[in-house]
Amino acid sequence: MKGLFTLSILSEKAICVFLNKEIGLEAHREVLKLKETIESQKWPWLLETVPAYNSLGLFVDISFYASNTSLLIFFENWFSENIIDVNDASFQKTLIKSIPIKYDGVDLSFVSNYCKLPVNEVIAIHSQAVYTVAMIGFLPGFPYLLGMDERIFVPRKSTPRLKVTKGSVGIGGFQTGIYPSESPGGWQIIGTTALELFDLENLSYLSIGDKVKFKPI
Amino acid sequence: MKILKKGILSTFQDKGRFGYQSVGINIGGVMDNLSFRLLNMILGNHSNEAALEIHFPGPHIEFEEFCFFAITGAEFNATLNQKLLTKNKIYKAKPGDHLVFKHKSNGERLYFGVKGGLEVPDWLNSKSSNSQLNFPEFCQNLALNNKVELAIDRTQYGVSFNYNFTSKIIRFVPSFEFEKLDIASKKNLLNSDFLITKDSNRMGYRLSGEPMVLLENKEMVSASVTKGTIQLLPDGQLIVLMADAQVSGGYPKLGFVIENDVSKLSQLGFQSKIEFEMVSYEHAVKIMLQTEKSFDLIKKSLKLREKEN
Repeated sequence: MKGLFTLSILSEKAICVFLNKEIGLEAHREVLKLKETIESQKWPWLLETVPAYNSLGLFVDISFYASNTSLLIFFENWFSENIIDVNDASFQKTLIKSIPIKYDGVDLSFVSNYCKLPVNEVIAIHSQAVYTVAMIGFLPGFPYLLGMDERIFVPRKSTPRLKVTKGSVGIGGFQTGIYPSESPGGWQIIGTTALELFDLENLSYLSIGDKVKFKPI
Repeated sequence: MKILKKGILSTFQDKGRFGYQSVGINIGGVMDNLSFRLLNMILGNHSNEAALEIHFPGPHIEFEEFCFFAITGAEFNATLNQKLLTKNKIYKAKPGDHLVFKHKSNGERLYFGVKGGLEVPDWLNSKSSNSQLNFPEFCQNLALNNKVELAIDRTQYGVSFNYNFTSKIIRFVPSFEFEKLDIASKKNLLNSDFLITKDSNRMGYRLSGEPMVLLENKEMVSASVTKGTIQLLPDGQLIVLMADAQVSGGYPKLGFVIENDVSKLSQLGFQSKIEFEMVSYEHAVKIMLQTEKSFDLIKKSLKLREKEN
């Protein structure tokens, strides 16, 4: 397994495993497979795993050091002794969650100009793709969606807005995402959804690995 | 107890909320973990009992019941009915007693706790405030006229000692990207002072110093970040992520501030100058384990004194 991963220490109690691979659906599927494999080890000191596009953060508690001296050594050894079948085809979600969207965002015309595409084309491209939730972060329940058509890649605003309203759907570079609550933010806002993406009891509506499609209303 | 004045940024905190970063909920928790641990140790509480994290100007508290309390961390000249208190010591309060904080003399964050604990609502196994949530039904910020119920346990008597940890040397462990800094930037990071700017809060401390540049500026993809992570911003300045760090970030990571020194940093305020000292990961682990040992010793000596009493 060595050579496929790069280990990077994040703190005394956290380490990040990077896949030596370009970001994309394949890399992401491998991250999720790695997460599953690592969680199935049931290490008592493992607090949580945090998947991202091409990496997995591993958080441990101090009891790790009762029987080990180094996170780096432990995982170097573990990766060299274990083969992870990252190409496990069974590991794929098929259900597509639909997100109602009104394409009324304040930056829609900017996006249209930037991409040299008419507004209705931007809408068509954005709503036809099936996205994968690559990670959730920035805010509780904020999904980073992978799978956007490169014709509508638009850089973030150079100066973030102080206030982006709840439910705003935006484009940030190669990714699209949804603001589950009001917050400052730098993504180009193209629409709004009324769907609640986060609540105190059920937490995030979307999970990492979910398939998502936008449904214009 | 009753809150007559809430002070600024007074929040309930414990060690934080673990297990939910993958849905975007950050860990949060106390800024100065050492002072927090000491507080619960002195009080004989469970090690993760919630405390009130207080900044200056602090709250005005009126006790409504008999209890034992203690304060650790920053020194804000706390008084109980006008009598000056010292930190790291147990005090007894009775109904009608007033606890106020007169002026700031050392440090930025003070921890107040009660023997038996403060009864504040729990969410996902933690009582820590979460600054990213906009839910009025879960607000862990201290509010005016709040009544905080105390879960009182009156078995232990006073112990006291001093445990001081303020220093301007902040130790860090470098990461891959540190190696990608140009030579001048490396020198700057290791040899020059950095100022803590006013744009610093529980999420992160923004530093001001000689701008730094990476030899190659490749675009970064968002990945895990945590308390202590040192990020290089596009303008060449540094930010050290603190307790309310978001779960992921895309700026280059130069390394991390060691656990002990994140606590130290929490007690340094705006306009303070810091210096970075590089240590290895192995050394950082050694320091962490030594800290565990000294806490064990404190615990033992507390138990001994308890017996003598």
